[in-house]
Amino acid sequence: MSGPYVTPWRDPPVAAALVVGLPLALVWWAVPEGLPWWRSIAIVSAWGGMGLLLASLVLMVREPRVARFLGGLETAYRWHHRSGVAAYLLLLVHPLALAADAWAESPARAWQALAPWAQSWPVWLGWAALVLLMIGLAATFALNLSYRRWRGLHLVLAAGVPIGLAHVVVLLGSTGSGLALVALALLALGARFVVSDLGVAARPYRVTAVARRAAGVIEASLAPCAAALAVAPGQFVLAAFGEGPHYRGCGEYHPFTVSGVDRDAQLRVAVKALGPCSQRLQDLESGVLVRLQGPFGRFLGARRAEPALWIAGGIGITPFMAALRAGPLDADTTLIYLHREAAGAPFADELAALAAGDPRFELISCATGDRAPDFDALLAQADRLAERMIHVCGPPAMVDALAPRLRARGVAPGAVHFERFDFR
Amino acid sequence: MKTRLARILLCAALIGAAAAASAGGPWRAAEQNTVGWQFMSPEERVEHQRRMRSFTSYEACVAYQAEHHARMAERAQQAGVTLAPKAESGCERFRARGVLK
Ligand SMILES: Cc1cc2nc3c(=O)[nH]c(=O)nc-3n(C[C@H](O)[C@H](O)[C@H](O)COP(=O)(O)OP(=O)(O)OC[C@H]3O[C@@H](n4cnc5c(N)ncnc54)[C@H](O)[C@@H]3O)c2cc1C
Repeated sequence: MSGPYVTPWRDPPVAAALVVGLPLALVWWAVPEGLPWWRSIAIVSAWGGMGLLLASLVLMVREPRVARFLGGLETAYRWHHRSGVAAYLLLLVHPLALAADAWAESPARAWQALAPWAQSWPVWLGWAALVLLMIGLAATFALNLSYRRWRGLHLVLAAGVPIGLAHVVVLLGSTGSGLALVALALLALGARFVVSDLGVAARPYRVTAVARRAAGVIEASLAPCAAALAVAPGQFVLAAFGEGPHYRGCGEYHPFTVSGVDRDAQLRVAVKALGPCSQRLQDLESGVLVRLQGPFGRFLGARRAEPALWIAGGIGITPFMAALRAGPLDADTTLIYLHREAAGAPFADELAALAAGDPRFELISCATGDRAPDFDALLAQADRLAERMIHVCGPPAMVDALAPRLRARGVAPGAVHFERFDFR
Repeated sequence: MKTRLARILLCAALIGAAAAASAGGPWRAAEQNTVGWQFMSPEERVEHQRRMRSFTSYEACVAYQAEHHARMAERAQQAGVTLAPKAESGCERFRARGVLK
């Protein structure tokens, strides 16, 4: 999962510390003495891989406070991905190193050490876990899978973890350390699947209005049914839309940035049809129950009273809409809004009205058609670039193209904040 | 900046404490502590290590060890080799660590 809010130069280090510290601690504890070299490698790779896998589980817990402690959901997910891949590679070394150790005795022994049919069930568990991890990881890299398929395959990966732990515990005996690992893993898995995916801690809201903002873009107003979430402009929620009189939601949690934080704790979210679930949401109607988790992210949280440049691509306009709707700006702000078609860009009229009514707000609206925009010409329109706080939100390709151009124009790394709508 | 440092320190302390609390690592079967190692298949070695780690009483451990030694002596005899005793014994190790009573 790559992060939506990438602030590459300011990553809080808790997630990274976990990914480095946990495997190192396990390796330090388990490092063998007086064993042949390859066997020692097999042991170290197994414990290092297990540590990385555990770190990866902790980093997928999607609870707002835990996410904040870990440096934000986006950072946590980025490190979750990295540690998962590294864990798989290290765990793959484990059987290979065992075979290399046996090779010193004879090639037949090496083959015996690898062949699952020459082994008993505790070792089969290890092989099963490796195969499941491999299938799940392959899915992670297939970015074009629909969310539903991707999620199913990711569950396969998650199933590999308890099976791998069973392999460890059976071979290790029920020692305190083995059980502590299992407890940590089950806690993290439970927190993710029960609390987050089943939405045990989610807050109920009801859709009170639905407006069409452009072709394939709706905006829903959501009123809390019980205690409301304290959401700030720039943050996102995970929303699972349920059933209405004529509407059947897809029921799974998807991330949406709030496009408005209104009076009475009402929230607004704008949804662009990108795939099956967001397409179905285009028919949303009032009265539908929606469950929200969050808030997550800190995209516009770093704003200060200094000149700002906002760059939005397509539906990436949502965090800026929320900030603009929250009241008059405290600093001169230029918004470059990139969208495909001149006619019918979401929020175009409202933005024009806001720009007309607030002298501190300048709108540069740019219809790009199907071609990539000329970023250099656009950036040249914003004066005093190096003095501004810059926030960029849009498709990953746009964010990737802008980052080096901003740096080349002398913008200090800490002054740029990115949000990408592409993590899962 | 301060909270950032506090977080790093907290993480490092937690991880360090967890590692220190259980320092020592699990016992491992190897050539130096297992009579007849060269006559055991990889699967038997894994199983032997698992059995050795599973005991809670010293007597049960020693009884299993005696059984294992007898089995290995038989294999050695078939191969025309005499087995030398090992300098290190798993059951003694476990007792010294306080795992076996
Ligand atoms: C932090 C964050 C904030 C977001 N805010 C908004 C918002 O305010 N408004 C809005 O309309 N959308 C927003 N998105 C994107 C939205 O979550 C996805 O469009 C939605 O989850 C797609 O689900 P689906 O089942 O309809 O499509 P899928 O079947 O999951 O995917 C359809 C297509 O979209 C791509 N895709 C898949 N998942 C995502 C994803 N998470 N983000 C983007 N593209 C994806 C796929 O590669 C595929 O090509 C946000 C995403 C993130 C991560």
